[in-house]
Amino acid sequence: MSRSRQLLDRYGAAAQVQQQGVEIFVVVDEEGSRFDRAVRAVLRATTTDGPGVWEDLLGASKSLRWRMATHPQPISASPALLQGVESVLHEANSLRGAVGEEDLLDEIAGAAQRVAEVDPGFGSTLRESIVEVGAQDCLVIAASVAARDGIRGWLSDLGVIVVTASEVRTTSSVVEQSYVVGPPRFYAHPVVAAPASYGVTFLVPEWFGDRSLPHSVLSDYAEGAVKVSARIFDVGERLAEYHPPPQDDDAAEAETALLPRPSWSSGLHAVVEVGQDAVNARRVVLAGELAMWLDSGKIRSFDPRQPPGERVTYVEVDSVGPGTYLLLRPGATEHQALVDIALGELGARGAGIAESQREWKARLADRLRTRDLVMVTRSLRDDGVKAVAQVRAWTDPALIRPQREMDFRLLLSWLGLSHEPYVENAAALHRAILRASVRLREELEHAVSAADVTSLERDGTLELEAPMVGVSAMLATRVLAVSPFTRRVARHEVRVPEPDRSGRWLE
Amino acid sequence: MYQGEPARHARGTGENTDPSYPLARLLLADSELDLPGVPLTWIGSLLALGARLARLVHGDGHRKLVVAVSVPRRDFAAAIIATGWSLAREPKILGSPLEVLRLLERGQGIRAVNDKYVVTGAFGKLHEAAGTAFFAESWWHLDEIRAVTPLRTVPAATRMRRPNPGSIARFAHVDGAWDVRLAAPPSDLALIGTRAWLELDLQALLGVEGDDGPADSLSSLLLPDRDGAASMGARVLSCTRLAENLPLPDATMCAILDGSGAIEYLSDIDVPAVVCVVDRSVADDRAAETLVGRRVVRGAHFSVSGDLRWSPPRGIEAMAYTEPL
Repeated sequence: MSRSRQLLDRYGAAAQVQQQGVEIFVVVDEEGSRFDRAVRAVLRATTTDGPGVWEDLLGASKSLRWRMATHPQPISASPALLQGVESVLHEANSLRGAVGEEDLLDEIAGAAQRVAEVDPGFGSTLRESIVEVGAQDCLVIAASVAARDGIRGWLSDLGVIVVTASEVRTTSSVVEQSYVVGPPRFYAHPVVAAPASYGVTFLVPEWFGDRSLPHSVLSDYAEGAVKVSARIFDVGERLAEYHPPPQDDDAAEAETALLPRPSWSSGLHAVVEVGQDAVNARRVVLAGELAMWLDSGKIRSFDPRQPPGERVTYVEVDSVGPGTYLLLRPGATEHQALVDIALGELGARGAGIAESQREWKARLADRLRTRDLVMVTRSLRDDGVKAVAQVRAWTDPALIRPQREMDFRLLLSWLGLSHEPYVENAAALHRAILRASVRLREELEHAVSAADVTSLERDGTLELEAPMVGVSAMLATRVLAVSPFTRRVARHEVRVPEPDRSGRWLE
Repeated sequence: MYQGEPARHARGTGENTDPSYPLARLLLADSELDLPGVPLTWIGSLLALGARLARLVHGDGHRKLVVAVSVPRRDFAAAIIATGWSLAREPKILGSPLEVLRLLERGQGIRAVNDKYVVTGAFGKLHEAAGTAFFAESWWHLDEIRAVTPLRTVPAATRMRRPNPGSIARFAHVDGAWDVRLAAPPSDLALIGTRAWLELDLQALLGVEGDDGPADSLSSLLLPDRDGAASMGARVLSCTRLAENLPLPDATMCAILDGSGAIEYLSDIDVPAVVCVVDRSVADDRAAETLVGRRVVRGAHFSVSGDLRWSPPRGIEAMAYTEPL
């Protein structure tokens, strides 16, 4: 099918879902509800004093809860779910004798045991719905690769297409109906804002409290915003009396506390000594049981969705999030390596250039220290400098010079410096860094094209050979989580991956 | 529906001033094989968006206008907005071919158009008595030359077939100044994204439903600066190589950033108009967060429907703001 024909269907599907909204099937799940109550009870009991010794039991329980909401197939075909139950039983057992609340442990272990014995209810709802619509007119969307593989095996007799959310964009044709397994908040906005079907239905076990739909941050500010509504249907029959989870405004917050999350504790001990060069940084949990501190600026990234030759790029650190692939140079920042290579290439001139760069930056930093920022920017603007908002950034050694040469000349005059040798030196350094950067990018593109991207997507990390002088092997790694907080961290500790197990309960 | 800009601002010698034209539906085809193409209602809207910006932006201010549109899929959107911009820019004013040739010096760069070719190269000499001129390594008949422009640089001798104006060129009333466009195309636009995808988009053909004339390829309307092209209008840049191409030339008035990889560079691109195409089929929301963050921190309100007089069609979201250049 031609791309323009596909587009006709995709725009049509988006418009129809926007107009009609989506459906949420809330399915009775008595065993799941019992386990959910037990987890909430543990969470409540530990709210005041923090998780402490309960941290691993909570981690394992949240992880199991996530799997219960995303693996609908019968227990016999659901090893991930059984493994999750095992972890909860193991963690509960290891707390026996160590904590006083034996009743909490009994209840959570008993409830987990039942989860391993009764098939999830929303599985049969999914199967029946597909049969009713017709497998060839359906698409099943799973929350992870593991969930997709499990569902695919279980539904293979129907011949229905099962994909992860990120694979939806590559499915070729638009179908009648998508069934999305799990709560809407487990999915990003494309599942409702760029669907591959004219109807979208979520299947959610009843104990999951938050039924809000994902939406892009752009929609809050946009004209013609894509706002999708949901109609909720209760499905299934109940044997016992049931107290549904709260459906008020706090539901989303309560569910957030119950999602698998990294234990940020490993990042909290960072200490900066007085007088040490420090920066604000976020803690980033990486695949392969690694974590690191990440400051501001740009970082090299790898985008497997792009065509070969255009996969290696830079991203702003602020926009790094779960799912971003980073290309790291273990041990030191890439920029410093490039500057060193560039200065080395410039040979005898290198030292003089480094010195002249230090000189004008120091003078600018001095002006900024002694004068009011507003006065400085006004004065520079009066002199004709355009990018005055960047004035602070220009003191950063990583920024070679203002982007416009005219801005640089005007700035130098304002600093009371002659234009030369600063302009020529900065230009020479800039060119040398660009050359080094181009070479490194080409080498990385080459390494990436030779690498096994499937294994990177599966394992989350991959070592790449970049034989360029001064740059040792690069590590491609997927970001699992970014801390909501920043800390003052010594500059030399930033962007250096280190072993860290705080992501072990993440899916 | 195309919202009528080109017809109201009709210019050139295009004969078609039929008032029903603005209501025409446009057809998009991936390539010659897919003609006549598929009617897509939003194409006219995106063309109109580019055209409105082209008329609004003059580059004498101190603010940049940022317009973000989110689409269900990125395909063709950036290329079509770029085409709208390019079609609505005023054509340059060139002297008659003979006048221009008389003023050229030997060795100077030149681009010329006759009924078959667009050529660039170095100027050799003018032989008025014989009715010929030598440039781009060949002799040319003066009476066949339709437009000539001197170039600042001296390109290698290049020759490409002259594209003929099709139904969109007529629809947008640029057919009258077609040869001037080929000789001196609007070169104030940069299209930035995944180059391989943009190149594929530019091969698409655009036609007017019910018009018997041939469809125009987007590249014949935009004249992208690809290798071997004799006429170079819009610059097409890969975001992976963008750092090496910054800053954009001073003449750049509009940059169209296709996808999050390009939108990463929003703060580095200081041109009067920036259009960001956000692909909603991609889960990662960083492009949207970048845009909203800048609007909240640095931006001043700008309404697409009020200030730009452009309403997004169903399925397309739009947000705009201005910020200091």
